[in-house]
Amino acid sequence: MRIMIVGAGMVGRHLCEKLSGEGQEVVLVDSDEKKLRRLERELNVMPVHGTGASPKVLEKAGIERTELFIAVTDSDEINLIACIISRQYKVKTRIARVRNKDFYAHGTSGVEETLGIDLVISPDLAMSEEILRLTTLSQAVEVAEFGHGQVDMLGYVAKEEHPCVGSTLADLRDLQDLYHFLVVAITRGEKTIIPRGNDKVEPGDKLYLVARRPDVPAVEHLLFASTSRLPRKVFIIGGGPIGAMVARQMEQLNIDVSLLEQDPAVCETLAEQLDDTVVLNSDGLEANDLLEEDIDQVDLVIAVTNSDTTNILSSLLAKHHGAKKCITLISNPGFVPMLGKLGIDVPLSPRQVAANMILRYVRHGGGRIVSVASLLGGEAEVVEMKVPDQDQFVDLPLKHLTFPHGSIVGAIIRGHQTIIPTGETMLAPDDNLIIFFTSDAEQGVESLFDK
Amino acid sequence: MNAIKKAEQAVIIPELAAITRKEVLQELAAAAVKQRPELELERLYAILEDREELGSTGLGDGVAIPHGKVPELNEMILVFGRSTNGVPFAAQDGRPIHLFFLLLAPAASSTPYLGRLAELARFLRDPQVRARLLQAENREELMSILQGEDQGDHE
Repeated sequence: MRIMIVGAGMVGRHLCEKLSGEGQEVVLVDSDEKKLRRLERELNVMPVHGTGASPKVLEKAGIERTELFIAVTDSDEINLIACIISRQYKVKTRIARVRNKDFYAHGTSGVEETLGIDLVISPDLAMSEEILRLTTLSQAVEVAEFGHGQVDMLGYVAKEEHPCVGSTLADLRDLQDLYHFLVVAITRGEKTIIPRGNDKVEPGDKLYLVARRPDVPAVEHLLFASTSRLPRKVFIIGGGPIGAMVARQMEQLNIDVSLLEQDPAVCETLAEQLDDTVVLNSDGLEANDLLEEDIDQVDLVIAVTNSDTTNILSSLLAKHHGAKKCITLISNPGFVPMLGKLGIDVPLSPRQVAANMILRYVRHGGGRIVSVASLLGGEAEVVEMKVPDQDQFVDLPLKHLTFPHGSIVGAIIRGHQTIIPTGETMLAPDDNLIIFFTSDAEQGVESLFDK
Repeated sequence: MNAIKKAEQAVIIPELAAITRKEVLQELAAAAVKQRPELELERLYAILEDREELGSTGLGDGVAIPHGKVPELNEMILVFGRSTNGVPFAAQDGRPIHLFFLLLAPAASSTPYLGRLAELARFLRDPQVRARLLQAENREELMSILQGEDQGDHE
């Protein structure tokens, strides 16, 4: 499939990396020639210099033969115009990144329908949705959903006091009769492993597991001695669009929200817009401000100012004074690897979140193998793979398929049903297998159903 | 394979009097309290009930494993109870439960609680074991099956 991406910023770059890595033909259009040359060297993409808002440039880039068109420059107008121009050609799917929230005033469907764009995506909106999703799961630090949201992949950090620490993976697997979950990957330090029976859970491990949503509370109770519940008291640092959106949604969930913003004028506007949120004029970096507001009673700190440094420092300060968990906005991907060691629980990058949302949309219902997610750090991938409609796979127990070392089936989607499988689970035609694997197992996974 | 390690304190109730879910949990908890008088029945029952609210511990095939962590304990305790007539327990297959294994563990994370639960689940996966537990005529016979001393110990 030929894919055209307009905009070589962070979102565009992430999309190029993923889609060209999957063997797609990717054309990248940007007006910054230097940036293009750099990406051309690093990634397998065809660069075209020029603005995406010009029919000439798009024609030069081969818009006639393009199936998927994604406009993700920093300018809303260029993205929208580029999408509108692309309507003259036989492009199948159009996606635009739009930041200005006026476009969302009456829901997203309006813009999408009027302008003929299939998906309009706002990084801020995507980010606040992601934060809310994480908030409803008390201990998970990462969440991804598959199969229309019937099944979640959840990431947890195992701590010394958790019951799961010291258990073997074989034991955890045998608990499947009692608890429907499957540990699919463990990140230990910089390494991601697909665990085998004898591997043991160690403190500090990041455990990725798959579970059906209704079973999550029981599983969390068992493995981490706690149940998912909403946080009671939340601190939001930064009164920008993300902070305001999250505060409003949390008010509706009856969560006690305090919002810290350093600009007095913004504080006044927010105080008018929000009903129950306590708006405070502070930059989040004054220990006294935090202590006065009983930071030690706070279940969750969400640091979403537009400065990474402020977000990191205010999160660490709040945790130092007793806040239980933090979600921290990080724009600079270079910071991410060190954050776990510092004690930042959940680093989130708005561009990464937006790019992942686009990938989810693009990949859904594609060919036989569709990639659905990559685990943080990118050392393990998750794909959705359809079981071919061939006799030899009907009623075949899962354990009779030859899975390469370093891969595991986390869930089976069968119509509206989701199954957390064991080796005995029988395949049916058109089942979708959700498979986790590390990079060395990639080839074996791709040829799983080849004879 | 066995369900009961010799050193572990285990209680066997060859025939439960309970006929409802609540009564079963109370009868099993009461048996645990009898063994360990420092435990408090109401509190124990509340822990078990809280767990059941998250989802039934009935595995199906007539087996349930109610379980929980109890801070007052310093070692694990197992109570086995049998109901010939079966008790409705919201099991995954909707069938009544005949074999109940109550496992209580100390709160300390050092206890191999999950390992023990997994062992129980493995033990009960064998249909022969389940059938023999149902047919056993007395406490001694039950004990020997649970300890894996009987024939049919394939492991």
